[in-house]
Amino acid sequence: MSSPPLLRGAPARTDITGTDVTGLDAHGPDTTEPAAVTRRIREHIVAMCAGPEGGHLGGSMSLVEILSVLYFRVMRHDPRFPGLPERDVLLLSKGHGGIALFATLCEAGYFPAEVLDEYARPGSHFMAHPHPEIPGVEIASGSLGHGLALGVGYALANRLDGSDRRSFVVMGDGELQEGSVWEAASVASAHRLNSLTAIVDRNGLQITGGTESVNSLEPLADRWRAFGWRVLEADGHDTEELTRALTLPADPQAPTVIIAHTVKGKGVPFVEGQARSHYARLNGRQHLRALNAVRASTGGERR
Amino acid sequence: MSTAPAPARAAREVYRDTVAELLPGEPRLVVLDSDTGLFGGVDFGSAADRYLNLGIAEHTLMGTAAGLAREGRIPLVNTMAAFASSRAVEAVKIDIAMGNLPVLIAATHSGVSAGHLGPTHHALEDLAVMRALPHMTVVVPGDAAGTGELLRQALTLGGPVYFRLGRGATPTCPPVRRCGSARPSSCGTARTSRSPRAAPTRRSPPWRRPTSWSARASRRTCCTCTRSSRWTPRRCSARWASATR
Repeated sequence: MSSPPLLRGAPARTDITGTDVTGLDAHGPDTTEPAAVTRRIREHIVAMCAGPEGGHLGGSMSLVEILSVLYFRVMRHDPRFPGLPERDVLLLSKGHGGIALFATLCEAGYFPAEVLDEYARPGSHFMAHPHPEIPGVEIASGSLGHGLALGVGYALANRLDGSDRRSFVVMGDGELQEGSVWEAASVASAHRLNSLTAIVDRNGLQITGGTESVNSLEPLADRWRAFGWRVLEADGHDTEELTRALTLPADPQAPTVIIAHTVKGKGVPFVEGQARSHYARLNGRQHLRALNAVRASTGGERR
Repeated sequence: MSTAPAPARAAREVYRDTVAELLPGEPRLVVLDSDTGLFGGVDFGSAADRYLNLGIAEHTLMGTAAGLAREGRIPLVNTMAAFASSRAVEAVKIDIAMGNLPVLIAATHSGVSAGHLGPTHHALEDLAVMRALPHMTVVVPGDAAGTGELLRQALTLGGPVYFRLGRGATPTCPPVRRCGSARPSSCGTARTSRSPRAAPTRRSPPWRRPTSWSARASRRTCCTCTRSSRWTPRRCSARWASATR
């Protein structure tokens, strides 16, 4: 089921009980209900990690709510026209969250689910890291610390155009150890790029362990404030809290960063919150266990 | 006594003046500077908002240029060759070259043209690095006289361009003559300033060889305008060509 195009400009809608259903699909059963969307995205991710090469399981599972709120509630975009000039853009700077992005784009209607079966197979466009040959993907990422600078470029272009389009850059917390992130953060605040929003997937883990034990990031919010950014914090698995943070009016003087507190490997209990979830190749049995766990967490049917 | 013509202007000054001339007339052009000081005192008039000094941040400079290019702008990025080709090269490769984006990287102080600034400011590997990147076109104006015309041509290519400039004034190259008439500079045409036969290289005895690696390498540089063989015409070239000429 595709995302409603150019969602943010749409008028508010309520159902017969008076509940706000703006942004939900008007046709048929409510398949864009957040829990259903995130469950399907997690199923895709688990399936890709059970492919021949495996995938970045942990950092993708922690991104699911962030990406689904952006694509299904916040961003103006149209899956039928991926390069639409009026679209809001999402730059996935943590390229190792690629399979979460593929799964979200697939659910948003950019391409059919069958193409994800080709993930990491010879000849497929779908590799561990995204690149712009894939519909809906804006930039090639994978080498960390690049996305924020590109976000600065997009935001400057919007300003020169006099447009109110927004640019979202999704970064990992381990990625913030790259110096280039802070170079770009400094430029963004110096130029008061308030259409730029950075989202940090703060799952607290990187390949070899906790971010605080490898190369400490705290006090993270103070760091961003010191660089002149407005800092918001949210539970990165709470769709309502994320929606509130992402739709807050822009600060006229500063770009915004949302530190989204997440759990690496969220939804797969046997790797949840563990650094070893970073990259996984699931065998048949693990795939089934993971799938059942994902379905059980949202009350879905077991296989 | 040298037979070379008297030194003309520095190619980077001609570049700067050509940019100042082109910027107001072409709304897609955006000049991004990394505090090089090259544009000090230049009045861009109505286009002043399209000159942005991002400060001493070369990696961000390249990434920002890529973001602007993805939104339909044609950024001209200004830094020194040493920083463009080594410090920020990953951003050039991933963000600009792989995407075949129309970004012109104007790199001054190339080779050992800033010899007195020391080895950190020498760029001896930049041609090799940039020619190895996908889609990249390398343009090296042979002299100041051809720089303006080559810049106009480079902006019509519709892909990433490494525009390699020296620091100081250089002699004017002898014009390319075909059928007896002088031809203007053009991308892809080499202009040999000195024949290898006219200046035979004789191996010096070890005690007379230059000790600095930069001085050794400098003897291999020559005065040419070249284009990467990897460049292929794109459908959008004509679109960019229409307004920048």
